[in-house]
Amino acid sequence: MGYARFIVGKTISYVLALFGAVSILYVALFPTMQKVIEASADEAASDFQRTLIKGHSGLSLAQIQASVATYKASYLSAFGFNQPFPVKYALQMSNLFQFHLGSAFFLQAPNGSKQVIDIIVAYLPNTILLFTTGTLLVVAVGAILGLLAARSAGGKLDRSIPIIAIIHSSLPTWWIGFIMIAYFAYSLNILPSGGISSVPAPTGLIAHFADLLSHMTLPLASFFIVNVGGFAYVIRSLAVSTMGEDFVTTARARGMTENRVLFRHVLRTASPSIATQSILAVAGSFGGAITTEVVFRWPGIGYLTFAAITANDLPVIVGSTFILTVILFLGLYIGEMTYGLLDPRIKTGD
Amino acid sequence: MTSLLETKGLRIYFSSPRGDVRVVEEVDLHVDQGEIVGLAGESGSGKSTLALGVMRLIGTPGRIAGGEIRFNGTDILALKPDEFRVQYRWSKLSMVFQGSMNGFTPVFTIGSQIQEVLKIHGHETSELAVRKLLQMVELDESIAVRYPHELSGGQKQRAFIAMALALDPQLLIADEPTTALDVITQAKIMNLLKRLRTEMGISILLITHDLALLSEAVDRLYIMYAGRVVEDGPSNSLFAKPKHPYTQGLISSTPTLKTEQIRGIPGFMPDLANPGEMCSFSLRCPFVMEVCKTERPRLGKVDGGEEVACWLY
Amino acid sequence: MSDKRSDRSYVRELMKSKSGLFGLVLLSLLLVTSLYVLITIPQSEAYKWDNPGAWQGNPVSAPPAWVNYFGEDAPTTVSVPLTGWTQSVSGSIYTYTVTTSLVWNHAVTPSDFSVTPIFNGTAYEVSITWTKPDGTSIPIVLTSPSSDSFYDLTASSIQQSIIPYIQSQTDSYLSSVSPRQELAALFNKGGPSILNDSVEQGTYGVTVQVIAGAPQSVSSLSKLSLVGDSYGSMGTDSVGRPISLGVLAGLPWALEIGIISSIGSVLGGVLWGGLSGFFGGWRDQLMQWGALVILALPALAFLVALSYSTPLTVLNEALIIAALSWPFFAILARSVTLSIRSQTYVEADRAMGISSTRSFFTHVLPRLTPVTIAYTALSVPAGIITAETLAFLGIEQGNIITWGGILNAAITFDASVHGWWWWVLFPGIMIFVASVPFVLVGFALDRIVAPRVSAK
Repeated sequence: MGYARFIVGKTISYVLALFGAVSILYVALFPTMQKVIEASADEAASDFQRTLIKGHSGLSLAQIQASVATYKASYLSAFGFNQPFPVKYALQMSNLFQFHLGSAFFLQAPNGSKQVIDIIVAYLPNTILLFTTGTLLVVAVGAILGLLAARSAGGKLDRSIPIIAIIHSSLPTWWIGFIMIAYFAYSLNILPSGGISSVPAPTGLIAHFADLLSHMTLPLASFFIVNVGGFAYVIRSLAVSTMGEDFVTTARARGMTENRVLFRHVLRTASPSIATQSILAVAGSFGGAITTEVVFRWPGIGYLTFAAITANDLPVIVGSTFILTVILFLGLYIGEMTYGLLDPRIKTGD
Repeated sequence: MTSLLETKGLRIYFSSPRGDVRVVEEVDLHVDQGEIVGLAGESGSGKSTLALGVMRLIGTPGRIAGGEIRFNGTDILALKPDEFRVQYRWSKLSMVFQGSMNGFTPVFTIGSQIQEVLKIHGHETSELAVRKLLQMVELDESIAVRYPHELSGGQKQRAFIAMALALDPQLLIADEPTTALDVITQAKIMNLLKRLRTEMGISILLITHDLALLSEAVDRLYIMYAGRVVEDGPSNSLFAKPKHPYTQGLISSTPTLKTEQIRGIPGFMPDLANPGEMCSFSLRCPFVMEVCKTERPRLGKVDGGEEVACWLY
Repeated sequence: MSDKRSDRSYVRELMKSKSGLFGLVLLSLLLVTSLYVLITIPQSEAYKWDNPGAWQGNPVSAPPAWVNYFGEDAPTTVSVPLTGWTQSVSGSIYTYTVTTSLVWNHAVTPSDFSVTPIFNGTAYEVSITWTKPDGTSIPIVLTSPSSDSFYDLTASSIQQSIIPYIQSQTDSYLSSVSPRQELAALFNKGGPSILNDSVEQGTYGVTVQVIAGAPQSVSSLSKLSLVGDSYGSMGTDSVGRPISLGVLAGLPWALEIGIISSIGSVLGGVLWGGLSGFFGGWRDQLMQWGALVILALPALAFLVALSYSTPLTVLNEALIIAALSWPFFAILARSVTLSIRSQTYVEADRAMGISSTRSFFTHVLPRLTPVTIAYTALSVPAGIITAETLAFLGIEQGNIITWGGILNAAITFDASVHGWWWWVLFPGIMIFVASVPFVLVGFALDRIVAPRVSAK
């Protein structure tokens, strides 16, 4: 059936595309990655050495050193280190996809682990929390605004959206965050200036939740202000072009109220595209995650990347770029699948 | 007896940077109970706009600039929009659109859309009701669960007609119901329309440029050119002896089995924004006279029960 | 039916639209300012930017001078030239003396103090006698000043001389004082509360004496500066660098990156998408897939990571941004091409046997031009913002000044915590000002080019 073929086809396409993108990443970062792998090998070797010294004190120093050297060599060969490029590529890519991201130079996870994957996993949920909430807000409000603007095409609401869109295209998100901190956190002193929880952290579930909300308010607000206009503009354009189609005229002819035409027929018809745009928005917002988190000191993967840049912690930089790529692909993939799900023309096979 | 539908002096204008474009100008027409009336003309003659005007579906930059439209005696232009929508639109008069291929919303099934029409007007929405409507247009009930894109052009057209009949209207406006369909489907749909009149007493306003189609279906017809009615009358006398040069041109440009040569009508339509005080057809008329260029002829009665707007008569 | 309109008519239409016209005006202003900056601010200023020592003499973290009009008392820097040196010789000891005075009528002390007698040799001793309006004199002596001819005596360098004076007034022991406290002492009436805020307004006298072992010649650049609390039109950052300089100097680079990345990505994308839509079939699928691969790379993260493998220059940064941004335009161009392709003249060409490449260039490409131009304008701001965002994260070419770089310093020094709003506000506004003209022109063009769909 058409739908099954659609799903299979798209999945293969996306898997291949992910592979292609990571390959590009790999090639671009090749020198950096080799350094990272080497450093990882050194780290693993010195851990091994420590274990040997503590545990098997029967061995002579020379024997220990020989053991460690062998260990390091085998570690490196697991990454194809002294092999020709194709072998290197195959081994290192497969390690990447198994999330063997090595250990960080300087940073570490809250639980003390120096493994890059642990560090990333520790910080990623904060990013997901902030940005998914923000995007949901932007999508919900933006879609409504966009639809209302399309409905009153040419009216006041419709004319103000382009202005908002212009501002959105000309300002970096994070700068608005900056300004908001200066005003709300310092002049008015009503909201925290950054971070995810107060020090000391409040006890009790409700207090904790309230504290979290108060810390989320400014980042959410700045994210929302900058992105809602652009999204509303996109939705408005989608809606307006849908409204130009024949079935909208016939819908009115069939005796439907304007609201019904808009919020049932137009919305439903445009919903695959709207859904795609929303998913793209979520996926895209992860890019902006880095900078907004920096401004608000929100402990997510973006702030982690910034800290890694400041500390020149290459393994973390490579690791987080890889994870962000995978997430972005996941987002786009979900978007395509949602489109297929919502558009009956695809579901029933065209 | 009051006509079912009657327009008097209907004017529909579209505003443009160059001024008002007079798409429909001073049109009087009527459809009586149980009639099939034709409205013919080439593209741009204003016939589709007229239909939309009757359904009060004219949107910016267009507007109904004057005249009356009466349905069963009531001036429907005077009604408030919601009144018209609830009491008249689709329930008393409905329309089959040009290119009903895209008349259905692509994301809902045929059946659900027909049910929706029934529901919002407070009618019974059972599957049985939908099935009966589909049967009326000779469509199998399995069509109800299909999406519009799964149907052929002819099926979509018939399904749309079913939806147009859902509320048991008194008048059905059919705007180019058979364009872009093959001849066999065309014939089926025309037969369907005729059956609707004889079996269900629905009046039909059939709008098309295809004179051949009209000749075997309508009781009376109007010929429109450049927004105005230039000739009207009972179909047999009009087709037997067309009076207006435009009508003659139209008929002769329609090939029959015996035609050896097709003659078109040379020239273009006048500028509808600045029509001026002359006969609109004078630029193309093979019989044009001096008076045609300076004064506009009005519709006048001639024999055969017809009216013509031409200085020849 | 011809849907091509002459380029001249597009320009005319653009002029007609209010926002488009406004955008064009702003755009020319930007370009003119940019040229002005390139001509008047030499590259040496940029090197100076990275050297904190070059900015001594400017107040640190100071708001713009015009806050004085809003009721703040934030004096700007007052400079008094040191001229009229007298020379007296005694054996091989050469003594140079100059006396001058200045009026201080503010209610706050200066933020710093700088005496720079510029000689061309070395000296044994530099001493300053500071006389307050009420007559009290405070001797400040600096023996064997460290290096060469440029003696820069600031508050921190004369600490050891001021402390005894303060101790004599307050009768308490101090191991060190802050520059502000020193200045409080110098500008206060004297007595036990010498370190409090009150300032004695009036005329202060300064006598500078330099004792050297060889003849000196004095530069006319010698001066005494009382560094104020405000500076210029946009204030300074925590090193004393004027924000206005940074804001202006960043303009040419921002424009350069924005324009190059925009042209690169739009041209590349339109060609890719146009060919993709034109070919159809497997070539189309493949090219679409290729666009997907690039589209899904997280641009910022990728750029960040890449910067560790390649050193960044303005040009290669712009090209890399372009290389990551073109898929968007490819998708757009492809859908436009698909609708063009279905038009009969392309079919007609094929029927006539005209090669498809030629058909592409004669029919498809010209019709893509208006969209291309509109989007080139619209995507410049994206390039600018991406570049500034990278700079904000610390990733930029060395030796140039960028607005993102200024903001990076701002967050490093916690500007918003301290309330130094000018440091954050002006660079950000500048990003906006540089982007808006392109957005206006782009939107105006987009409205002209795209078919209008009116909702009925």
